[in-house]
Amino acid sequence: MKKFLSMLLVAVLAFGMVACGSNDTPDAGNDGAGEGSDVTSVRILLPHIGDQSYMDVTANAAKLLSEKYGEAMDVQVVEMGDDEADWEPANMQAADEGHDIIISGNWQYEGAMLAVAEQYPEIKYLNFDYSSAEANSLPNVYAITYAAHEIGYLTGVVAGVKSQTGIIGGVVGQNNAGMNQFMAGYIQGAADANPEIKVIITYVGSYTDPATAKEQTQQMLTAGADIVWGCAGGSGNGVFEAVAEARKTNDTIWALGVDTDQYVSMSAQPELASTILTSGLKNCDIAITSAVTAMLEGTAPFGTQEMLGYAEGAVGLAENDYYLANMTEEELAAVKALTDKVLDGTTKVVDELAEPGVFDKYYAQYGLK
Amino acid sequence: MANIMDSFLSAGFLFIVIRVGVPLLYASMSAYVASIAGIPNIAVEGIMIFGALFGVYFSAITGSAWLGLLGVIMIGVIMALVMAFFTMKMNANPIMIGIALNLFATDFSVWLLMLWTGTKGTTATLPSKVLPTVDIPVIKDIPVIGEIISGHYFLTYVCVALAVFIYVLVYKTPFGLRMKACGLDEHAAESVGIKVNKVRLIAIIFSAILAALGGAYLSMGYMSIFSSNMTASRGWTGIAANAVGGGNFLIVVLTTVVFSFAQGIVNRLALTALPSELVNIIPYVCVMLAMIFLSIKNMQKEKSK
Repeated sequence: MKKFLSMLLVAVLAFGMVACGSNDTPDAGNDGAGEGSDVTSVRILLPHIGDQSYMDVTANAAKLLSEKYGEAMDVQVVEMGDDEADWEPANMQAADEGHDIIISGNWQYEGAMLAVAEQYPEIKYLNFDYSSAEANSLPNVYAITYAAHEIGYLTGVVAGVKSQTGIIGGVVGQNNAGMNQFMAGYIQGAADANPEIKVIITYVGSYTDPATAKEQTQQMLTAGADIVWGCAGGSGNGVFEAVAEARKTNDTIWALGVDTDQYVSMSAQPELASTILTSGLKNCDIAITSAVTAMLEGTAPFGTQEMLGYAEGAVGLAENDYYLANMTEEELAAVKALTDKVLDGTTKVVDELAEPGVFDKYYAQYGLK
Repeated sequence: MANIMDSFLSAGFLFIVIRVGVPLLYASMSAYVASIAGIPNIAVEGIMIFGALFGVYFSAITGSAWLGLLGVIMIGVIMALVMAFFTMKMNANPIMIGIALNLFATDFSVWLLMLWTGTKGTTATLPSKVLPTVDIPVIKDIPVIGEIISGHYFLTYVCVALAVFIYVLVYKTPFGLRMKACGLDEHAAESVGIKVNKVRLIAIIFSAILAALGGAYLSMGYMSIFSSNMTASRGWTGIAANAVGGGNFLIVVLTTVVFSFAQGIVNRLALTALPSELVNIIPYVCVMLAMIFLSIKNMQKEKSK
């Protein structure tokens, strides 16, 4: 028995060391880039990649940047791990290695980045999805964020144009201002497309409970909704499940995806993928690429924050072949007519974060009684 | 508001209650079987997660939902053996083992997900299969009743059959008596020649298979994919139902039915303008009320002694 225990202990220790080892050497082969070199050295710090969504789109910026700059840029993604305590050391290490540009941020881990950025004024930082404007006003930090309300608007326009029953749904992860920012835009977009539209919004209360999301979607479909937007992280899959079942008898029912082109990420499950008419996109990769370009050209407004929207290409709709095949010419024209107004600024999309309470106002007006 | 009240009385609503109640019943039966034999199984949630994940995985690699189901039962047995090894062989505290297995399952399932699919969210990239839904001949044509009890998932009917089986096993067979004896006083049981460890081993294996089936219900019928942490505390609700039942199987089932109704009502009310936070707590308030009821009952019992 003792022998077994000691073996176990050895195994645990060995495993632990391997695990730590792989964590601590994100960039052992740092090829001396950085100060004094012609090569611009860029690091993207993320907790993890591989979620087929937000993180992967952000990490894809590395690919876009090296395509754009080729040999002139050394860009790598560093996985910091999901343990919050590791984020500041990871930022510290990246700063010590002397890179030209460090990209990190997002509401969850911008704190770790900003704490380090303050101590390394010579390094340029890009916060790719900031939340606190005040904290991001350091002179070496350029902070961007995405117009989530415009994502909502674009998706809402498609829902409003495509709905035949005049009732659409939105299944949301949590009831908070950030999520309602999507939803206020969604209702506004749908109402612009169809002033008679009725909207049902439900909150799952969790981003990992697809079963409840499925129940809520089924209730919406029973109430007459024919387009449902799943805006609830992992729970959103429940929306696709419910719509897939309903489509067996009625193929005018559609689901909409969020953040990435979910028609593509669900493609191994054709029955689920075929429910997704289009997705509202957050193009973090494109936004980061243009932000880095601005930083290199010296036009980036350091110390300030910028919200990038549809006009900048930072958010959009997944206009894949499936979408184009399932929209008629008139429907596509109607969507374009409305979304073009966002492009040229004629339509001002309401923003729950800038104007708290606007979601409640819209929902009171267009919610299904 | 009136039509919402009407909708609670409809056949469709009862169908929904059954649909959301099945995973809860699997969980509470799992907790029940283990606890009456004297080994509390609080790893229900973790085993459910594994059941859900491995069902999807095995059905994807074998191309058959039925072989996937076999994999689910296998993973249940493996989890049971791990638990039995630590609690009975190594004399570890079953609560600690339960906590360990829950934490292990939560994170290890995500790691396996990453390994098999390259993502941490879902198994959408695996071509997994689902178990069929069953239309019961004759009954499905009866109005109202047919609407309520026909057309459910295969594992729904398995669940009902297992519930009947557990009732007969525990209350009508000598083995059931032995299980209860092991739970009440293992030394007394031993003194009359019951092999306590053997009885408990069987109980734990049975318990873990029930939990694994509850997980498979979620990912191989109700949903067609696994999504990380998709059990969303249903295992814990089952454990609470078992605690309320206090060893009486019928009360355990009844409590689970109450929780299922609460969950069905929540899903229906989600469409109304009521604040979602308030609506979402209904099942948990039911758990709390049931626990209070339970402790009042116990106190009265103590007094009357």
